[in-house]
Amino acid sequence: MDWEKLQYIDIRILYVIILLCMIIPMFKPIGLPVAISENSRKVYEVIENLPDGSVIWVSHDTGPGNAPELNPMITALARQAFRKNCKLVGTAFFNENVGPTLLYDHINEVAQEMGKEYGVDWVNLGYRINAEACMKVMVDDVWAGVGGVDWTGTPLDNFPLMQQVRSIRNDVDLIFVTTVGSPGYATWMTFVTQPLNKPLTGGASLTMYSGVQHYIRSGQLKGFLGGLRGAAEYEQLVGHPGQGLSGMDAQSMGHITVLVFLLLGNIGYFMARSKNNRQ
Amino acid sequence: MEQLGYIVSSICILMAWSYLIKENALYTFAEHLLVGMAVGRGIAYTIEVQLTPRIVDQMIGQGRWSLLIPALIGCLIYFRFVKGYEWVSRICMAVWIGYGAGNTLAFNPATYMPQVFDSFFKLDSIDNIIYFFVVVSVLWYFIFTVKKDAGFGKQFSMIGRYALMVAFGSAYGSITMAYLSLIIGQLQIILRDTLHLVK
Repeated sequence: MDWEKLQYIDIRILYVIILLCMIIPMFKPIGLPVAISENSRKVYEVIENLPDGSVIWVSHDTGPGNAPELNPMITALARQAFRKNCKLVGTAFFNENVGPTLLYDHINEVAQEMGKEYGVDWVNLGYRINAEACMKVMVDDVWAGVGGVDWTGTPLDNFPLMQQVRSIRNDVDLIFVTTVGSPGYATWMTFVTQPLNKPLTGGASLTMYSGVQHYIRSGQLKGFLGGLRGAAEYEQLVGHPGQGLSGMDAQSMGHITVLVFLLLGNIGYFMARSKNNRQ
Repeated sequence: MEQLGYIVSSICILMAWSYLIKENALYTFAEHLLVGMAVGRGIAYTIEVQLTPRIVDQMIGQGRWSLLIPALIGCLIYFRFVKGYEWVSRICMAVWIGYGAGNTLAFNPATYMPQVFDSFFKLDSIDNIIYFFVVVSVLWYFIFTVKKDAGFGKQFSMIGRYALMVAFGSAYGSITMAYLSLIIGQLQIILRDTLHLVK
């Protein structure tokens, strides 16, 4: 057998096989179990332990690329928060084009379903340039930090919730951040949560999974939702399966396929090497 | 209208994916469409949410003319287009970098110190022993002022290097998982939201 061929399979064939392996479970769900990790449980519990009516600051710091991983987290957060009559104040510092819209769409969907009103129960402040400076100002004056308007340019005077939320220091109980990089956890930690000693939790793209472990260990981050898997676990905890859980079968099959090809490639490499050594 | 949005999204996704076969006109069109829309929307959003409230409402409306100072410093960046006066644009960059560096230096210790404190713990469990051993070996690996050509120093440095390799492997595995999640998101738009083939 020509083992070297295993190392040089046409990449387009791999794409098609991986795509097929991911599409099939979407048509015929396998229902693979999703165990809930300790980190996801911590996120759920830190929100669950807040007093009813608390104000949660949610920053959806993402762009279109990683939105499929992070959007389900926002939906599940809105469901848990509104169930506890918590208020949500949102920002989106990563991408001015889609961040604020994604935040609005995913909270609005749940808000309408649960009879929550924009301006009373939640507000979207959107994107502001220079996240660090904006966060620093918002610590003591949210209105000044965002220029006195929400994401559509509507003055904050119009929203009863914003009469209550004047500064992060005094009026916000928890920061929930979903992020794909910078600005992200580190930025919020540096300028807001560490100086104010406020709890910080949230989720991130799985690309950041290894990079946040030390923040969890040191207690600076109260739990962590890792990518689509974390979103699926959080949806289970909130008790409302959504986009996260529906994608888990496809993701598991995708992983298995990647692993199989990884093994085949390595078998090909070692067999070809031993054959060459013999010759 | 929402359905039209999903159809457009699906078409754009497929045009972008066509790059996997080879670079082609459809992919290039999707790429230009994305860049054009992002820039256009970015400008409109900046005017509506950043500039209007500060210039019209706060400066002219409320008389906060002090905002003129940072605005003027910011405008200096456009001197890069004025031949012979390009150096003026550096003033804007100097203010920006000076502010950023000062800010970061002032606030960063609050973020990193808890992690330093967290690495001082009792060695009373396997986890803690491994953690301590890895922290010290990785720190040793990055000390370049001492020669580590042979003996214990070299071996310990190698352990630090292997620990780093494990961390990079873990990060790479996470990235692969993340990319698959992104494909699922796009598949859901095509198969569920647009074609209604799956639930």
